[in-house]
Amino acid sequence: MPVIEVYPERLSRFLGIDVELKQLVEDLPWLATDIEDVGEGFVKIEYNPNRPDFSSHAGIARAYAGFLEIGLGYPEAFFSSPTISFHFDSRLRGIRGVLCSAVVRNIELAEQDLKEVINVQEVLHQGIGRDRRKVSIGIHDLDKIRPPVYYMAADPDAVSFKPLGMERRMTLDEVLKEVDKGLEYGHIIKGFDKYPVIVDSTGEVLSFPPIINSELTRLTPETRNLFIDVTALDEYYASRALNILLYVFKDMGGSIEAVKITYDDGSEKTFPDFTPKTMSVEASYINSLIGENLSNAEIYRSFLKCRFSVVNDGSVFKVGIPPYRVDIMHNVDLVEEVAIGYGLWRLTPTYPEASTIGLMHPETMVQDKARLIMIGLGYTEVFNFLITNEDQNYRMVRRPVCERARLANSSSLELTMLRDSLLPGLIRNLSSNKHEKYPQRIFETGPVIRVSEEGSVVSRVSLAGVSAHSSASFSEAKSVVMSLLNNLCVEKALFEKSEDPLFTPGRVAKIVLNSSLLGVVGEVHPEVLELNGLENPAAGFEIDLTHFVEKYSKR
Amino acid sequence: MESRIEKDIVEALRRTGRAMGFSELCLLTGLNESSAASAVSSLSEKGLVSVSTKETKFARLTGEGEYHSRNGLPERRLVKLVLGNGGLMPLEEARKAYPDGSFFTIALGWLRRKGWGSIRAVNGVPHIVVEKEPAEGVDEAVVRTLASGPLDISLLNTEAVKLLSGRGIVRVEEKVERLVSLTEAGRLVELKVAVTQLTPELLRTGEWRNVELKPYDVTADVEPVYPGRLHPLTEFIKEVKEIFTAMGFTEAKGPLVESCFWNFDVLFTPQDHPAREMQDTFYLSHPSSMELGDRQLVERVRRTHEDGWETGSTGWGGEWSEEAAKRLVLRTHTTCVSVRYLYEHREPPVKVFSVDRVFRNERVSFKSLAEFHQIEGIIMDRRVTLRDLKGVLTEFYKKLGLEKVQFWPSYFPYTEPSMNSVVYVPQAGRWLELCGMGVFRPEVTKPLGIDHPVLAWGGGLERLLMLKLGVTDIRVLYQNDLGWLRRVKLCP
Repeated sequence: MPVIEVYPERLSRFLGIDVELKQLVEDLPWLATDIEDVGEGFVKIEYNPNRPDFSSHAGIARAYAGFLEIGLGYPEAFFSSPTISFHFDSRLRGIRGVLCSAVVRNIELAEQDLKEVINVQEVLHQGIGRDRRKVSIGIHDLDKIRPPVYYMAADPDAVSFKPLGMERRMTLDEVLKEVDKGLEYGHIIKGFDKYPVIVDSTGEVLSFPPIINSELTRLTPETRNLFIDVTALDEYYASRALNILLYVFKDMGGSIEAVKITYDDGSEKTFPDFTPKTMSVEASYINSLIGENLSNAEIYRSFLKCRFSVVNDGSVFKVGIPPYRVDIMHNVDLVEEVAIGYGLWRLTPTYPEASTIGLMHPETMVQDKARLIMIGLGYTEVFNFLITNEDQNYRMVRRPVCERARLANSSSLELTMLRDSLLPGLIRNLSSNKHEKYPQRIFETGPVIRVSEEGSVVSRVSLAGVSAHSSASFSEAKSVVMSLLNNLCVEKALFEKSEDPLFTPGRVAKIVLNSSLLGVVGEVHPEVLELNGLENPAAGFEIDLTHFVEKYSKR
Repeated sequence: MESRIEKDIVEALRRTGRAMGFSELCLLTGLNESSAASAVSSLSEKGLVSVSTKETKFARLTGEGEYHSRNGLPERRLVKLVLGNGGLMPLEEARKAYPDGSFFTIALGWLRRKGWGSIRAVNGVPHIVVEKEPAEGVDEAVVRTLASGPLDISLLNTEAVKLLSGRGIVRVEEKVERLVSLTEAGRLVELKVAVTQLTPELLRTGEWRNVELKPYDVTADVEPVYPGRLHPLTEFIKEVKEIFTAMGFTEAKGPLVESCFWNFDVLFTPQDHPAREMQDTFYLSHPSSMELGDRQLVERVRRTHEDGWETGSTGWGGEWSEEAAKRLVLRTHTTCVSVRYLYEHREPPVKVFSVDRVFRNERVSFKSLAEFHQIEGIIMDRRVTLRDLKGVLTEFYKKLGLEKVQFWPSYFPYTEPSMNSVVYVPQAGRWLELCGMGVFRPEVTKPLGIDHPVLAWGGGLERLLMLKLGVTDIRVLYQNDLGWLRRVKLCP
């Protein structure tokens, strides 16, 4: 989740009143942020990705002003008519087919401001921009540009410019191959035969979205007028990203001017779009979810505190959503706004009335029963991971690699598949406990995952145990299995000669119940012991508890 | 009270009525020397016997002495040789005829010294002359006596022993012998046998009445023993499950390998959400996907994502991909278990929980694992509220011994309104962010055919257990170090 360091003095600049650090630490959690750390003169907060408007002091101040009731209701923002037009090349549909833009005039960006603007831009790229894939933003020094501006599809080697921070002019292809940002984000546009570029009337490149801007339009402390481009796959999120940024510039003292986007078919669109989205919600719906009996006045005030515009007709509230909010999709989202505006701390706990009977899952019942028997037999429980690898699951126990559930994208060679048996884990546990006192008797119960012949995943609940000491033997393991089965009320299990490379030939039996395979018991093969560095004999078993689970399911 | 051995020794001393050495004592009682010695020392501590030491000198034949005891002293053999030759024998002839040449000079010396014979020149040739067979000398008697074994020198002729030891025929050895005798108390004490182990035989014969069970040093250290026991994770999971069932919740189980559909799409997580990316979620390469089944449900979910369907939502926009939904993942939360359960139990009230494994494609470190447990509870009813959620959680934590709870607003993609809770863990002396919670969004419930509010909360299990155990590295919980498992304490 994104984080931001909030400095009280800086926040005060946007709030218009002085606030103290201590007060911020107490109040900010009520705006759905988490206090990460309190430092010398700042508080570091973590905010949720649904609130990219919290990426700046200006944005936090807007919400906090409502909480403090010094700024209530919808924060209006105004813009002047467009003087610049921005042409959209229709060949870009299907490549990066959405364009929004705006101009900010008469703004002075101190070093702090500039840093913060870049942070907002980064947060938007990461979050709603989905790492620039869905939305990316360029901010330029307007005075370096000769409008009108063109968003056009260019051949990868036909255009060249000096990318931000580079010494020489490069073609688009070179940017993707040689510049850091090109290597990082090139995958978004590679595969298209034309790349998007933004050029001005002189043909100079301002930006190669979503990769990098041109050195030409770099922002400096002397920059006073800004040109903003937003290129995207989705217009809703593009226009919201623009709004979030513009509200920050507005709060920093800039004047917003619209930009006219013109299309090949002659149509036009003007941005920004500050028209508030409206939604209606009933007081009864709000109260039924929160569990309070809030009056219309209380609801009304709660909306204002969350910076919404609100008109109520009796108990129906029609609210206007600030244009920098991207998280209001359904009127249930308005319920939460009311809860936050009202104050969650004011909600006293109640206990639901429903009278129900609690019950454990049959799987838990069987496992708990088996666990009790195993600890009675002197076995200590271990708990291994489900994710393992072929080496542990097969090679270290002499078993042949077989059909298994494999992971597609593990970052570790240790984690490549799901275990299909518990015994390999237990053998490994013995191996890492050689220094401990013998006899060692350990068991585990849990899921094992296999892949059926038809290729579907089969999950079974297994139980396995091993005993290791100087005289561990088949008969000991078989005694344990018989005792276990007896206590699980199995009468007619048969032990039949069998083979399993994990066990010593001639000292391994399969356990058969009503002609279906229940498990295996035997003496661990000396080679398995040797592979695992074990110097004591070991004997063990594994049985499928799923049979018994079905028995308990009848309850 | 005395041990059986002590009793035997006292009785032997009483029978003979005199002090005895250990060898004699062992002979009489059939004990070995070390057990007799420890019993005597124990009796002596009790003042029942006294032990004195006596120094004795023993004479024993040397190797050479043994040889002479078989063949006679050298001078005796020379006498016999000369007498056999008529009492007169040329010296050089005798030297040649003497059976053991190395002793001839010694024999000749002692023959003359003992006055058994002499050397006389006959016709200018030296001859040995022996008049008669001499009687057995005292030294010879000593050698004969010692032939049957070493003896106390006080029983032997002192002069002869001295002489023989000078000749290297006899060796004198000193030996300190300990003598055991009864004290006055020992003569009078009434003996009762003490035993360490009560045996079946003692019980069967009733003999336990005549013995005393020896008291132990009850403060002494003993060998540790370890019970077969549950893993602390299991113990804690059990505790949590019992709290849930006590509160009327039913446990649900669901697939560990789940489709994206149930893990993400049903929960209204947009298909381009960062949580669905490869670095956060484990995808399967084999098998890699599954059929989704219920077509109507799939369509409702599609519409909800694309345009909100009938849920009243705007939806996420864009095009929803069924192929992406079919992909298999290791479930990233247990919420998919809950919604599957809800889908099959649509009639209120439903109270369901799970405490089960979940997976995240994360780098394993002291604070995070790729595989861990999640606690999750769900309530669906005609009228349940955010305040109820606070109430249920407060009660749930109280049963876990966590009395101080705070609730803050929060955000989750599939709940609205959302909160998180922070609890004070007394064992650790600090606050812990424990559960996220909220009311399921209509975009989640409506497509499943659920028309009532659903309260949901969930959180990690391990972090709470770590605080209870005082463990700072989460990996310890899955290391299966037998030493730790045998000794770790999970206190309430």
